[in-house]
Amino acid sequence: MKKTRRIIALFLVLMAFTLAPMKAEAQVLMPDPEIIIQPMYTNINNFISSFDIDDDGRVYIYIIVSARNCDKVRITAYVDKYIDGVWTQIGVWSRLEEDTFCSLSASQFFVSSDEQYRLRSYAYVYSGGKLVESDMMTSRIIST
Amino acid sequence: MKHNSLMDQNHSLELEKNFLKHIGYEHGNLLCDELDQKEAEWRDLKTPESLDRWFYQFHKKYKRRIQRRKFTSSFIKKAAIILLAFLGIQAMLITTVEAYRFRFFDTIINFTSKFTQIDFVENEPDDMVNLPKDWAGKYYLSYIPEGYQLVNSEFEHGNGYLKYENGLGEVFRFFWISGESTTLRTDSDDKDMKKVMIHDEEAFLLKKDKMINLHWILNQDILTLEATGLRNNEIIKVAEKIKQLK
Repeated sequence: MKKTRRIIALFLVLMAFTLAPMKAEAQVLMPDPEIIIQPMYTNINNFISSFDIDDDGRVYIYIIVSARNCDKVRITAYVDKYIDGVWTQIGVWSRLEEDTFCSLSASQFFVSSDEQYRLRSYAYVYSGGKLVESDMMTSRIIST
Repeated sequence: MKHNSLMDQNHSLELEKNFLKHIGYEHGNLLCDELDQKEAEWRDLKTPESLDRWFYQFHKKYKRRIQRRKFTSSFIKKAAIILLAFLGIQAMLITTVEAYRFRFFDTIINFTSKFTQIDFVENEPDDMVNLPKDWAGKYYLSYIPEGYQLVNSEFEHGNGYLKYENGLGEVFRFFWISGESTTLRTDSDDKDMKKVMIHDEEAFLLKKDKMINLHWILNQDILTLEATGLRNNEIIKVAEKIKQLK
């Protein structure tokens, strides 16, 4: 009986060693993307925003807005840097499409290391020259 | 009635025991006396050589069998302990040391690649024929509903989209987004949301007005199909036939 107990205890210890780092690794290396489903829009169909900074400090932004019952869609994106306790805007991009769909991509912007950055994405939908809907999204903070 | 008492019964049992002990003792003495008397006689008794040889072989085999049994049992115990320790260390190294993990999985992949694999491949036309010649986007559609043509496409660092139209004003788009921080906001009424499976991934099928959206996550990328002129089963078929560029 003692032997069996020892074997079970050894097995549990090994399992604990095995499971703990796996869980930690999944969380640290790749945070899950988010799909938020909510009945909140009148014209916007999908609003997707992606923000990434590679090891060289190159910033990758990709935003898509698709809408309905509209004639223009605009996307504006701001990259903010955390300086002395305040988020300060360091880059801005904008694109207007006379369509129900608009995409914005940027990859020629570089940032310095050991700092914190975030992306603010804005979607504007127009119909007959008037703004009918807008939304804003802030990304997760990325530390370089 | 006296002889039936408990004391009487114990007394007779003791007597029987002593009687048997005495008989055994005397019988042993008789045997020893007989052995002493006949010892000289038996000492000259000759046993056949074949019996000696047989007994020598039998004894040798018996000793060997016992030794083998002892060795096997101790060897299995030691081997089991070493194997358990080895597996434990392996498991710890695989989960905690990244370099070791890569090397371990590389070894498995190398082993697998040595085998010949024959897969059944569906007889499909060249499914990349509808894409731009320099297409390097991460994904593409290998099934396009009848009547639809590619009218616009874009790809940039793991993100992109493809837009298809059928000439009747009906459009469907496929986009995929990756990145360290990726968020999708989509609109729907709760009653028009269904969960479906695209291969092994759970997907959300949403319907609002004439627009159908299908969203799911594949390899940490958000994949979306949105369409105005497709039925549910058709949009699911398109999703199931999405391929990743190698």
